[in-house]
Amino acid sequence: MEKEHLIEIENVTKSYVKDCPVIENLSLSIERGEFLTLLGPSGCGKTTILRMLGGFETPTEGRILLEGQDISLMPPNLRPINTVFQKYALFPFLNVYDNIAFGLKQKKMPKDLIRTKVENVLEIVDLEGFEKRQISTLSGGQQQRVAIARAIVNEPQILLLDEPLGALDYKMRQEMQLELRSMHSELGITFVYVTHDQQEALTMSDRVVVLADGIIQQADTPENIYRKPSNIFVADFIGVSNIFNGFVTGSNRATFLSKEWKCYHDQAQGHKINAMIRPENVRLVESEKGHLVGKVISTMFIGNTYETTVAVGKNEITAYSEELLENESEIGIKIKPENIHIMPFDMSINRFVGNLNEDLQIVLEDIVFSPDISKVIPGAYNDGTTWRSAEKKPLLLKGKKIEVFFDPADVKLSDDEAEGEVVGNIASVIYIGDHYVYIVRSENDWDYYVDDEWLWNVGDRVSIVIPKEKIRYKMV
Amino acid sequence: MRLLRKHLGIPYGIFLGLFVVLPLIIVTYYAFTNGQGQPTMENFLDFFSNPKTLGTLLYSLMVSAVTTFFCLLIAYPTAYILSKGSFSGHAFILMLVIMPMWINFTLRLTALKEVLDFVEGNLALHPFMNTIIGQVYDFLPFMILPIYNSMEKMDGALLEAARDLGASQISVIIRVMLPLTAPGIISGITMVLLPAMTNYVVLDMLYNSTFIMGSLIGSYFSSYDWHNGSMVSATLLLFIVIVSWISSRFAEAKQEKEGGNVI
Repeated sequence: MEKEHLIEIENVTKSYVKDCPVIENLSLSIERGEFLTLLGPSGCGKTTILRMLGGFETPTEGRILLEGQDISLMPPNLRPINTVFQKYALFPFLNVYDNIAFGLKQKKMPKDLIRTKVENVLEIVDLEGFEKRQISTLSGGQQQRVAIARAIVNEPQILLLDEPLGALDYKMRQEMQLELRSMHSELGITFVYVTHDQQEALTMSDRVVVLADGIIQQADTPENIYRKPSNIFVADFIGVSNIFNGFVTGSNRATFLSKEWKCYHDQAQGHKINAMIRPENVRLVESEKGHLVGKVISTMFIGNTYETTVAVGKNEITAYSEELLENESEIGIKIKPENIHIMPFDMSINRFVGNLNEDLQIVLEDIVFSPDISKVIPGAYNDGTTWRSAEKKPLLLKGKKIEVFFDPADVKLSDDEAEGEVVGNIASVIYIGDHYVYIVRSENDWDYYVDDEWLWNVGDRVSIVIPKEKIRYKMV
Repeated sequence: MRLLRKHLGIPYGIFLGLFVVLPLIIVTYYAFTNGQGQPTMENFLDFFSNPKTLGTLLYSLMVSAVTTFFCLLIAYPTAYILSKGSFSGHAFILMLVIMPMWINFTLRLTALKEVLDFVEGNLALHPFMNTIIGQVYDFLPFMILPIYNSMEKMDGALLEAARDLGASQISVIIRVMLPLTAPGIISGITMVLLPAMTNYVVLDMLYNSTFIMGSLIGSYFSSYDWHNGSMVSATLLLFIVIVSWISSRFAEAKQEKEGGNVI
């Protein structure tokens, strides 16, 4: 059967405050019948996407298509989409039967048909005989089932689930995961599931969309998300990972941890890369048999195995071992080539993190950034003595963690050391079609990425000119 | 003697005895006796067989029912705007609702009288309408506040859930919002319906010469007819007991269903 896009999210941007988008130019298609999970840390915009699909929010820009028809502005009651809400949102004044029948009654369905449908759906969620029960007499898990029943009884084309298992205890959650999964294959309805729990996302979904800051980081099968994350964020967010900086030093060769490794990748020689190895793929062996030798610095029992941290030079590697290893003991490390995942180093943005000091500046080793607070916190203003939020509450800014970004394309290199903000030496040059990408390493060993159309040589001493208005700040 | 926790209740007990129980006993005593101090039911029989007094009772009921209806009509949307309104001035508007309660209501009525006089030319032309305007003006905050309270507690996700399940805006109000705010509505009705029956000062001040229950009690007592005055009071008391019993039964049933609190 030819796969058909059921939902098409096209270049959607959503901002609640002007020019401060929660979702930025996001495009995503959802296939008919798939179990899609939106995964990300809180505040990444996953719930906003779900609410736009449900019709509770409208996109600021872009549109959402359902079977080719634009539904961006369609009110929720007209969409063939139903939602299982985070805290169930069951009507407390109605019993189980009337809660489930609510949607069907809105459609003015004949009474006996409603009865058959409600009974049928109660069977699916395993709550036969609960018709007359009041909502307050049900346990969390039972309420959850009623909420699911209330949504699926309407036979929606898409079922939206907003962290539906968040309020359940661990065992209950695992049971419900399996049940939701089998319900999905039984009903054949498209599920769009929102969670911040990566384990849940990996076990349940056909496809996982990892989000951060309103941008899709990766959309792929659970296996690929885990084994082949597309960037450090995904690698770090999903599971436990060891990530190292390195360079490509040949076809199927890369150098990291001060050693050249055989591994599989399609990066060009000389490119900066990140290598990722999952702890279960790090084998701890006798010291003379390993590719690397390290020293055990901590061991922690985590239930089914020991999480062991090994120091190799300045780096640390996390591995799982079946036995308790003594601290300070020497150990060998072996990694198979197929277990090393190489990711292109993200040079598309310069990103720094620092804390605000008393003068509301971010002092880093090389540069001092003075952000405009009113742009960092939307609506913030200074009443002459203190900064206040849009709600007029005083802001405690000192010590706040701030992210600083600037685009490599927005900065320039100069041979006049006084002209720029930072002085350093060119560490690498990559020619990309019409311009060069430079890595400039400062005396304090910080790396800056600069796009420049002029050719400089490795080792040249340059200063980096960063226009103030191009620097972006974000609260962490 | 050591001061125990229960001793702290003594002043309250004394107060209760002196100002609640004792007056109730006195009222009951006078209601069921005649001028010679003999027990009798005649006071009640007279009241309920006299078309004039029965008319007063009906008129009072009508005045308070109409007052309650208009209070509800105005208070419900106001409370909704106050609790869910996203505009920044909503705290200010809430103040506007509460503030009149700090001013003596006869003063407010005097002001209202001037306004009505100016608009209508002669107050005597529309006595009933003026009474209702005065009563609604007086009791509106007592209707808004409990409804506002229950709207504040209302979970917005429930309204969204109803929309999600295919309910139109109107359907959401009728089938979800009204049941959710029912405790507030009931408590508002109780706080308006009963006092409105005896609030004869409004009628007096707005030149409505028709009697309501309050004026009846007032006129009996001012002519030293303790027995009939007590009888009317006892009748109203009974009425109050019945209404609050019904509303508390309703609230209990709701509480049982929802497992939540009712104001």
